[in-house]
Amino acid sequence: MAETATPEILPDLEPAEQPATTPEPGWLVICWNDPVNLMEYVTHVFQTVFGWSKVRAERHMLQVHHEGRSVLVRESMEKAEHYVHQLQGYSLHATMERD
Amino acid sequence: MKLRQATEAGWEFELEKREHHALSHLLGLYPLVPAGHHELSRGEDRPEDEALLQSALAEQQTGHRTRVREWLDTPGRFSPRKQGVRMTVAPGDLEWLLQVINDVRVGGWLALGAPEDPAATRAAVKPENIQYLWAMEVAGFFLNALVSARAEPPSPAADGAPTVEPGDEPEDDAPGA
Repeated sequence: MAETATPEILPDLEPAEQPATTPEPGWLVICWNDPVNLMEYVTHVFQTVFGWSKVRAERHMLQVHHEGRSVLVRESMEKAEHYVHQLQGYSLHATMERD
Repeated sequence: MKLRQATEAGWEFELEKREHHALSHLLGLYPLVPAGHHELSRGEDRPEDEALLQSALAEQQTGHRTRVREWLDTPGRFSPRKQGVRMTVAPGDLEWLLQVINDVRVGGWLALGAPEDPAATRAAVKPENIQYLWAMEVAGFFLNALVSARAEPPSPAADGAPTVEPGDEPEDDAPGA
């Protein structure tokens, strides 16, 4: 991911990404690192596509940047496809993988 | 490119004339990411779903291409001022505009051979592909400006008496100004 600025990492104050009552999802939506997408842009896309707070979106963006990938959500096949379509529409490198 | 004001009706930017030309040229390059670039999954071979993805992305590209032309040609989109150009972006236009500009950035990077770092980028640039480096850099400039503007809270509604700063006056022969 192309570097611009490194935001402060704040403690995760938000609920877990999936409630325990979701039994069927079996697909992970993953965003992969690349050296071209700008950090602020990726944060913005995560906020827009998933409706996340900036803190949460930045945490995933930084995970992509530092670890090469981030699992964004765990979903049913249909919803995972929807999210991958959305992310790729923004030209992010996203795929869905079986959990 | 500077944000002049953010309101419920959208964003108003001030561009230098060269920035206006650069943005128009940049948008004209869309789309640059080649069809078939994206994959649905790394670990699964799902040709039918892959085909659906490619179809959806191609449809989006066609829609965006039409929308870019209409957007650029919208009367009042760019109002010439004595110093530069004023540009308006409606809230409903921001997301697809970001998608279009980032397509050009990513497509330019791919056209350079997807270099992994600045040194590799410099090594990849040749006279015949330097326009892609230009596209990447200029797209990055506009992306940053638009994403920053997106984070701006709307300013209070105008009171009907807009201030005119030096150099802010409309050009005498500016259409609609």
